[in-house]
Amino acid sequence: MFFPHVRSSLWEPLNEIERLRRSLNAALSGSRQEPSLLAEFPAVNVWTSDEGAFITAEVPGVDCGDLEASVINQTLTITGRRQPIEVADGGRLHRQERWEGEFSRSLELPFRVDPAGLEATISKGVLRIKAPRAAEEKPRKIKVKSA
Amino acid sequence: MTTRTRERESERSAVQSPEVLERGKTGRVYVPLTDIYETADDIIVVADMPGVDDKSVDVTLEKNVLTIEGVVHPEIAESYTKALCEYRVGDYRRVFILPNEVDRDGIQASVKNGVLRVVLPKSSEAKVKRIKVKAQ
Repeated sequence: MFFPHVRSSLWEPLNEIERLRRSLNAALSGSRQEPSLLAEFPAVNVWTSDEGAFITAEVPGVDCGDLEASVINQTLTITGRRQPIEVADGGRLHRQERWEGEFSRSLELPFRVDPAGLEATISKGVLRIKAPRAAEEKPRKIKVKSA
Repeated sequence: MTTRTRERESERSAVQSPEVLERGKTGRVYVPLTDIYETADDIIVVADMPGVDDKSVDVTLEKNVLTIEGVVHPEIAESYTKALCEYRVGDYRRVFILPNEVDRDGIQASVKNGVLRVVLPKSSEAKVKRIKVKAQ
């Protein structure tokens, strides 16, 4: 072996430059997504409270039949697919920016949820999931007695 | 899929028009990701505008400049605190210059699942005329 010090996962300077260029472009032009998160789809927002979590994700153009959300322990998984646009015979594509195909996204919630109380709705291309906290995970107030 | 999404995301903001920054209303304005294709009869514009419905979207055509605008009302989850924020919510605006003359009366726009679709029929002069070549 000529280069015994080279690790199996090669450092690829060109990939690094490309990654840097993308995050710089995104930062300078006011992209909606955080540059470090560009690879993850769909982007999600999560709110939490004592009662549970509220999760939203932008999935425009995805039919509710093509979308699935599931929870295992504390991990919420959103999978789905978006149908490609149909360009009629003889049609020409001038610009294609929208993605198509399948996606899968998992995220870990800060607590276990009650699977029976899960609620997911989709409207105007926005997915909303309500995930109530499992009863045993709800914070309990302890009364302080004076002795 | 992952790399494609990434490429698309970097394009998402590539065509921001400067006038966006000068409007009176406050709040963020984003450039929707858009596909454009052309058939023999129509030009079709498809734009991702999650959070927008038929009442909150505006499509205008002035000469050959097509403007699409959408208003999104950000939702506030009361009594919740934000734990993770990967995307931000705002209005949409994007301006296109159309390549061909368009039949203004025949324009149709529809919104489904947060995707705007505008069908612009070509005017008869702009349609490609095919000339038959005869064998002699």
